[in-house]
Amino acid sequence: MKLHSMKTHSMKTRFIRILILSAVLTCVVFAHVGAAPSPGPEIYVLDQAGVLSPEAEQAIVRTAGELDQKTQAQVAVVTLRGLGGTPVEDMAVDILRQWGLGDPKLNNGVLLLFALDDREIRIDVGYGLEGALPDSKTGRILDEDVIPYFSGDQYESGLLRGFYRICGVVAEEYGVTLESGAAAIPETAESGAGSGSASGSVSIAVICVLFVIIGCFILFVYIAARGGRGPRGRGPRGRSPRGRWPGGFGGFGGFGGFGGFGGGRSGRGGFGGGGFGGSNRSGGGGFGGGGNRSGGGGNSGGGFSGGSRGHGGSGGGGGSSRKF
Amino acid sequence: MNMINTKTLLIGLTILVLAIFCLWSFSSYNTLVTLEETVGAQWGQVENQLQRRSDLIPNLVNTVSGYAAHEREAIQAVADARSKMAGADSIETMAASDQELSGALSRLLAVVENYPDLEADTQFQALQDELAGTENRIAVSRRDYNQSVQAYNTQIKRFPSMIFSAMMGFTSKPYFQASEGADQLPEVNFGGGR
Repeated sequence: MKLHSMKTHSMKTRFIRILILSAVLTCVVFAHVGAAPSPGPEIYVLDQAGVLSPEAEQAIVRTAGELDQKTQAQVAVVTLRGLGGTPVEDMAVDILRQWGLGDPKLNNGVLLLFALDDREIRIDVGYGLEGALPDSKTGRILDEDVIPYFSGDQYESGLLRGFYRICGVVAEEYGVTLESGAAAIPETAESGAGSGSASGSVSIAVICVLFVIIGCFILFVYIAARGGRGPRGRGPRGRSPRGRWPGGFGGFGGFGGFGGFGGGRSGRGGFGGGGFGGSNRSGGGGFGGGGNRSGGGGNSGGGFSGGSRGHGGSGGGGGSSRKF
Repeated sequence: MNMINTKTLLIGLTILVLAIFCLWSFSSYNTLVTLEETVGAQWGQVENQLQRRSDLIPNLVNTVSGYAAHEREAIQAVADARSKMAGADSIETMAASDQELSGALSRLLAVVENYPDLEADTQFQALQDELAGTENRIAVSRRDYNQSVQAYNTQIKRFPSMIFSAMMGFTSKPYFQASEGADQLPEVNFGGGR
């Protein structure tokens, strides 16, 4: 027993080491491929220029996350201080590809890239969304929704408006409606973000509860089925399977944790999302990945889409750029 | 007894070496085929985007002619470059005429700045966005194509697979880039136009 636990412990350590190593390697690779920044805990937003308030970032993550869940399309907002001499078009394609925005088959990533010091802004569109967002349309969004709302050194409301417009167009393209935020293009960023946050967290809570219920139901059906198949005379039906199953599901939990690597959707699930140790206890029985336990505070949604990482989309190059 | 053992050993070794060689050549062949296919696919993308730009030009020419009919030279240069592009038969000439067309287009768009009515035309703005986007797509697909050519050319020239690629008739592929001379073509035209 002790030996066993030691073994698993050392394996765990090794696994963690491999993970750290691969994370470091990934960073190195990213650093060398180009000047493109690496994504933060959330794939949907990176604010290096510091022009977005935390509320705005949350609003972006919420809306983009919802869109991602419903359509696999990923819309991201990235603000940089400067481009370091790289043309804004090249930077946008590099980010789109290196982050893998959008589904690899559908190529439906969109990037709103803002460079503060170079005073340039670009919407870059993956191949898959060029029908919905042709260059002329992205140009119009920049001209009508984004740049007019830049005032002084206030860029947030323009960026948010542009982001919501893009999300709206994408949602329409896929025939879905967004509950969070998109309807409420904020008059002032604060009020919009505030009202959006309440409804957003409510809907996410509802989704979480639904998942737990579905997970319990599936677990129940599974156990019932197993119990039913077994010989009847062998004592109380449910007990022995029930005693064994949580352990068995632990293995799945480990995988869930791996998906969480790179941050849960809350950004606080963090490294591994606690999937390693905690997996045995995740009530969903590995259904939503082990990440549920420590990511629990956040809206990890069960590591369903592997947290907020890029899906591996590539391509792009379409879109429009503007000076502001 | 001893002789037989040596013999079997030798035969065994030969078979082993042959097997390894076979396996290596299979994988080497497959790698080359994959790389070659990638080059082909990327080239398709380049052609796609070039075609897309060519399709946009008649529309642009019509719109510009409506407002700025006497900028005939700039308009004509675009139309000429476009037909030259259509007639290009090799990657080199295509790259050259691509560059010429890009130059002619940017000169046309610069001339257009003198016509505020045209600049304000929403249809023209949309066209301009589409053209700029397509130019960028061409740049991206060209970069992808050249990268895939580089990967392929490197593979067929590297030592062990070199023997094999020569045997199987894999030849190196050209990059999509204009030669030194083509670089100057637009400028010559520009000088002549004045």
